[in-house]
Parts: sequence; structure tokens; C-alpha cells
Amino acid sequence: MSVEPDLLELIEKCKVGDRRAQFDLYGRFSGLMFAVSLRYTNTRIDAEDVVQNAWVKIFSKLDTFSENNSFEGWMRRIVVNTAITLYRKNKKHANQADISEVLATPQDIDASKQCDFTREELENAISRMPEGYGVVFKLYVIDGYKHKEIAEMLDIEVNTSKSQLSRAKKFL
Amino acid sequence: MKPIKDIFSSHIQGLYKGHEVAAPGSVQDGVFHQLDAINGSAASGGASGGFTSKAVLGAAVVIVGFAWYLMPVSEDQLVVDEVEVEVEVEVEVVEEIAVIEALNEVEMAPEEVEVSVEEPILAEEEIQKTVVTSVVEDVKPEVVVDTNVDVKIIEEAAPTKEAVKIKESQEPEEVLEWVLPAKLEVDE
Repeated sequence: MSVEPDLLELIEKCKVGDRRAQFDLYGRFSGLMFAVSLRYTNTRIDAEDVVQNAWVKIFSKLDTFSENNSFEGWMRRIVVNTAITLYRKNKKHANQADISEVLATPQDIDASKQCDFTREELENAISRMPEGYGVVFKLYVIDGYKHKEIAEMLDIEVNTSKSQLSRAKKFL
Repeated sequence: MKPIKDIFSSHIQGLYKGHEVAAPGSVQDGVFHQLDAINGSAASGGASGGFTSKAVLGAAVVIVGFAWYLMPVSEDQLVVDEVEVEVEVEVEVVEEIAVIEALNEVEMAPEEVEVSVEEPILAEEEIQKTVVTSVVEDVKPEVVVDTNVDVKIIEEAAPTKEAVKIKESQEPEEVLEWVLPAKLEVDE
């Protein structure tokens, strides 16, 4: 996956500290990044803090971005990591249970067939489930992280990530 | 059987694809203020380091130049020199006191040694006395043994048993009489 030429030019200008280019880059992706931040925080204030810190990291670490990867994915990962750092500071180790292996159950298959809900309905449901389930669910299902990555991000076992995903699906 | 991810996950990902929420203007202001602060501190860090080093060098040059200017003869400086000499004298006195104290300590040490030498001599005299008394006590059994020997000689020389018996009974009494005075003399 390569970066679009105009975006690549914008990134290069941002690397040398061009303030106008930085404004342009921010305006281009700020809505997307703020939506990601809102997904992983409990309050809007937390989301604003997370996305602000994430943008500072984005501009500070532009040199580490590889042009072969997706720039949007790279920025999204920074926002998610920043939000997860805040989540880990505030999290309480409740509702975590290890199981040896989680396989798809008939309930999961039934749930997979019920795909007629909207994003608002899904967010309402996620907000009502235990926080640990919701974070794993969002990381795995919405943002496409692997269980191993989730385990490293949240400092939990891989099987814990799997079990929480399974329980989140059952909760939905 | 594998975890389900296909339809369910793709549907949800589709719901969030391109989903944007307008960020408040305060976030943008905060981001660029923070960037300015980082860049400013980085830039001023190098500049301030150069400025401080130059300022220190300049101040040092001014102080040295001023001191050099004041070096020619002046009353104030002479007074300062005298004060410095007095300070040196005080330091020397302190050192002498320290040396005297050290010498006193050294002189005291031999006195203690002499005292310790006399004490062993007294102890030796006491030991000799005790040795003498012990020898006297040991003499008693030896004297008794000698009487037995004398008795045997008398037995050989005696012509009859009756005479020997009489001598035996008499001679030990005489030997005991000789032993007792010897003890008394030694004890004195």
C-alpha cells in the first residue's frame, strides 16, 4: 500500500516543520482521528486529550513513518495506543477470566447473522457491556487488531483477549 | 471450528469506515501550541546554552580585567595583603599546637612502659616465694621415705629381731624430731 503523491508531499513538508502543511494535514484527518479517540474513551474530554497528545506524537514521529504503509492506519494506531495508555491507567482488573481456547459457538454464529443494527445501536450496546469486553471488541472487530496485538497492548493473556471477545459477542 | 469474523466483523467495520467526528477548535489550538512549545524549547535550548556560555565568558573577562586594573599600588590592596598574611600566621600556630600535642602523647607512652616493666618484677618475687613454700611442703614425704631407708639399713645391721624392733620404734621418732625443726627454719 503506497501513499498518495499529494499526501506524501504534504508529509514531507510537515517533516521539515512547515506550519501550513501541518495545518493541512491536521484538517484532513482530524475528524477521523477524533472519532477513533471517542471510541476508546469514556468521556469527550478524555477523547480531546487523547487526540491532542496523539497529534503531537504524529507530528513528532513523522520521520518513522514508512511510505509503504497506510498513513491513515499509522495515525489510527497512534491514536489507539494513546487511548489504550489512558485506559490502562484507569482500568480496574475486573471482569477478566482466562480460558484455554475460545471457539465459535452457535450463539456466535447466530450473532453473526444478525447484522441489521446501526452504528448508534452498536455503540449503545458496547457502552453497556463491561469495559474490558468493549475494549477488546472494538480493537478486534472494529479496528482489526489480532489477539496477540491486543494482548500486548492491554497487557493481558491472548486467551483472555479471546474470552473477552467471545463474551462481548454474547453480550451483544 | 474457527472464531467468526467474516460477516459480523465486516459489517461492523463497514459501519465505522469513514466515520468522522469534528474535533473542537480547542484541540487544534492545543496541538499547535504544544508543537510550538516543543520546537521553542528545542530551539531556545541550543540558543540559551550558547548565550549562557558567552555570558559566563564575558563576565569572567570583565572581572579579570577589572581585577587587573586594580592591581597597581593602592591602599586598599595593601590592607588586603596584610590580612592575608595574618591568616597564614594563624594557620601556622594551629599546626604547632598540633605538633606539641603529638609530642606530649609520645612522651607519655614511655612512662607507661616503665610502669609495666616494674610490675612483672614484683610478680617474679612473689613467684619465688611461692616456689619455696611449695618445695618445703614437698620435702615432708621425702623425709618420711628416708626414714624407711634408714630403717632398712638398721635391719641389715641388726643382729636380732627384737633389737631391730626396738630401734625401729625409736629411730623414726628421732627422725621426726629432726624433720620438724627443718620445716620451721625454711618457713622463716
